[in-house]
Amino acid sequence: MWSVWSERVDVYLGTGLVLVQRPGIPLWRFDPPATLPLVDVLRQVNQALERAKAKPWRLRVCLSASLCPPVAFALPAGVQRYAEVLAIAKANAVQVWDMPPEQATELECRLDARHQGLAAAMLSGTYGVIARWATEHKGRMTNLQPLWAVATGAKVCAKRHETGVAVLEPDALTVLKLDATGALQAKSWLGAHGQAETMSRLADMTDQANQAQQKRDVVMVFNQEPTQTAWEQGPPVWTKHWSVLP
Amino acid sequence: MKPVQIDFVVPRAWKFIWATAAVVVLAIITTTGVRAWQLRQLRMALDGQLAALQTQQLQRLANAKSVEHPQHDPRAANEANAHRLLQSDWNRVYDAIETPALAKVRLIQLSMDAITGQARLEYELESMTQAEEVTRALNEASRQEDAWQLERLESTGQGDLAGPAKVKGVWRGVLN
Repeated sequence: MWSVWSERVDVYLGTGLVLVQRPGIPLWRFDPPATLPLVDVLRQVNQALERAKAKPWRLRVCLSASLCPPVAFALPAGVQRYAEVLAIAKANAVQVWDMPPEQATELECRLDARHQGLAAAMLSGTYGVIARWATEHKGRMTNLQPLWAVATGAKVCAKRHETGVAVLEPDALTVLKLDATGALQAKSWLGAHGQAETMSRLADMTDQANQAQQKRDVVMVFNQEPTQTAWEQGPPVWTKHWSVLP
Repeated sequence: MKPVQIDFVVPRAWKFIWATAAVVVLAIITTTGVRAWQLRQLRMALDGQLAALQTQQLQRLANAKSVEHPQHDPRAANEANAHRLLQSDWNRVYDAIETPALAKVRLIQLSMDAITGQARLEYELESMTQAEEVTRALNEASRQEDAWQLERLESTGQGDLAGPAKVKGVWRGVLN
């Protein structure tokens, strides 16, 4: 249907998996080999969707934790200026990415607006490739967010705010957990994980105080194939792709 | 846990919000400036008008003073007095005096006050009964009722050796 508004498109980018969801059109799924560069992957997306001929798009890009892992860091007392906090976050992001400290400039880092000591980091090269691809062919990128950050917007997390959250994606596992002092712990592991492995990772991050209180954690699973019905308590994007582990 | 809010793209809404705020602030400053400028112009114009009015009023006051109180200028006062005297009608007095009906009595004194407009006549009469006759004659001559009124009659007391005692009568009249 013709409309003056540009078309809203959801894109999920992960290692070895690309999902594109356009309104009124079935999900387009692409499993590129892990060795294919991101530029070529996105070019194939363009060709498959005939983007050169299409109307303007607004892109909402979600990144897998393998491309954009969480960075948790302890903030020294008295540090409040944005630039200083960002520098500390970058120094920690280098460790998460296993890079030498002098390559900190090759990372794009964004701070969380709601939690102190939490950030997300991605490679500058990846960021540049995605931003350039998005602005080609009359496109505009409105959001570029890690999927685990979007997943915390689920209603089920808002209800039980003291619990930890685990997001299980096909290529990575992310765990966010509040510790006894109220600071947020965050960690991600690459590769596919099973249910038992996820639970053991969660248990590892749970400290003694929380174990004593028997608090439950939410484990959200992001599926490649959409289900028939959306999970009502789930995250606001990719609503048909979520399920929860008991 | 509060939802994590991380986005690598700055929302475009903020640009719009800042631009709108800037425009609004600019509009407010411009409006205020224009208004202040207008008020200043108005105030300057009013000040000018007020000064002109005051000058005019002072001028008028000075003129009025010089017209109402001419005694400040003795020459002008004299002139005005002479002018007023020339406006008076003396013929009414002389008509009354020169009427033939008064041939029997003798006029002793005639005095006139030009400022109050009053005249005074003094006659010597043969007897007191003649006074009524004289009053009527004076009023007829000046063609006006009650123009002349008898002020007093007085007997001169003893007459001279030749004749009987005489009576002196005084009449007062209004000239205009």
